[in-house]
Amino acid sequence: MKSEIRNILHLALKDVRAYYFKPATISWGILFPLVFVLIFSLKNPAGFPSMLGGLFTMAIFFGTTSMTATSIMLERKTGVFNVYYTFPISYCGIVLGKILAGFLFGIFTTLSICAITLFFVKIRIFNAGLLILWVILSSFAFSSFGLFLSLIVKEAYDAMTYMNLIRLPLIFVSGIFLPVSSLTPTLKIFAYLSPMTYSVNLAEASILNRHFIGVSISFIVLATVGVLFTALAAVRVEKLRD
Amino acid sequence: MRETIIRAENVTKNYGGLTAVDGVDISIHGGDFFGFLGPNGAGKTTTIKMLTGLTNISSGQVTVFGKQLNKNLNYIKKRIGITGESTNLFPDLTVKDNLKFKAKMFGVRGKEAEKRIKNYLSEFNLNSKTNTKYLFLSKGQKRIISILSSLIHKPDIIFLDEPTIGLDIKARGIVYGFLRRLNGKGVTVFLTSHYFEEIELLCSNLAVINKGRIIYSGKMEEIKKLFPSDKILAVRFDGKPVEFEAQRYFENFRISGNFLYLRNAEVSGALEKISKFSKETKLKVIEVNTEGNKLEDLFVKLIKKDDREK
Repeated sequence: MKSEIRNILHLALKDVRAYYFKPATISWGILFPLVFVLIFSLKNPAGFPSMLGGLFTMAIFFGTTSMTATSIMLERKTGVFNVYYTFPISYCGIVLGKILAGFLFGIFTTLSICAITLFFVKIRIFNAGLLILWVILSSFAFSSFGLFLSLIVKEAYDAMTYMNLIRLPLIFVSGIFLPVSSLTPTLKIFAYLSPMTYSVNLAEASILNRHFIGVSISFIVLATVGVLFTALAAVRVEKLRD
Repeated sequence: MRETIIRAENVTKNYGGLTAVDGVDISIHGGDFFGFLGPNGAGKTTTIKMLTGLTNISSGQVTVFGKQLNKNLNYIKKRIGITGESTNLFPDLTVKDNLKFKAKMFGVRGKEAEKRIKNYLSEFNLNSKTNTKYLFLSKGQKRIISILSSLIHKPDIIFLDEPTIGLDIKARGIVYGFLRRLNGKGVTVFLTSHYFEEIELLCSNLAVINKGRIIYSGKMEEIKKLFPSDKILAVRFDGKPVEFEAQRYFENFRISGNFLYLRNAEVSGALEKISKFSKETKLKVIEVNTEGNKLEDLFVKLIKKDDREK
């Protein structure tokens, strides 16, 4: 057990060294959400604070999923992903190592974007503890979600493209730009199926003290998403071995 | 009696309806330098993957170090090293970071890991590449670092799947020397290669696989007893002979580079034909030698015999 945990950490730290500064990670994981924050802060300074929850959720979502997609894409393309099977580590351990790297990247980028934004916007966070919990839980959920999506694509080259096919539509139905209450009934179904919706809800609860779904429900959904996709990714890693 | 460290019994691998490996039996003893030969697609890599737990076995059983493979995977992985066909290192990390990462994953840390990395790199004069990204190494350097990385945890057996592919003769010589020293220290080596002379030079035991089945397994010197030794006349020209031209003069021949190999040729008659061939093709004869069976010839005979029998 001890060596399994150690190997999970080694694997995550290796990913940090190898992929944090890759162009795909930086452009999709940092620049893309940062550009959105800048656009909305300049376009509508008065209404900007009300959008913070959604924009910060986008930062976590794109940060974590870009990191996992980049690492899986490069490793499967070069064939080096297979080396993990030669190590004394379980499939779940491989998955947790990968998730941890995305998780740390998500936390780092989101907290940096939060700090920079809040320095300029000068608003008071309603509940800092809840904000930290939201960042942790969302990073875990999105990192495992991103990892699973990267593992199911057949052609590793396409990982980021397929990822965007899912990520970009989710932005529009998850309450980031438009409140979920204003969506059509059909889109509302997609909104409640999207894990981002629950993350936006938690972000708004912690920053602005407003929420459209129960806070505890959001916690449960995000935790379930994290655990579910971790398990699915582990199954997929085992299948990829053959 | 040396200990059997790997025993595969009736091991089969199916991919859907295709049987890639069919009822393979292999025994490898501690200290063996084991060669594994087979044509492309014969099932060499799949067999290695099954022996090392890198793929599931459809049926049969593999025991490694006396333990059942599928039930003791992590224990066994700690005692084996694998260098596969594809790269096993991360292009974006430096040589040192790659080796350190692999060492850590096998529980080798701190000064011990540093010491091993330094020693291995010195052995191949690659110290200057310590902080170079793996991506920027030459093909040969990549192969050597890849082999080193599979030895970093000092395994008891190392599996090398085509380890010298892409290496020039000098680098191959260095790798041979290294593998011999390693084997001399008691490390068991399992080697597949397309270079027959490599297998012949290094291996004490050999197995040949064709169409997923083992068609020969035994000592290197015993394979030569399977077929009566042919008389082979090796003629080296100053250029490459052309096959259709040679067909007009010779019946049982093979061309490899600038060499023309004549099997079971009567020397006196052959020399006359060689002289005529040389005149017509304007290829100068550099040397003529007689040879016995080479592993490559025996391999071809084995495969042909097996194909005929099917």
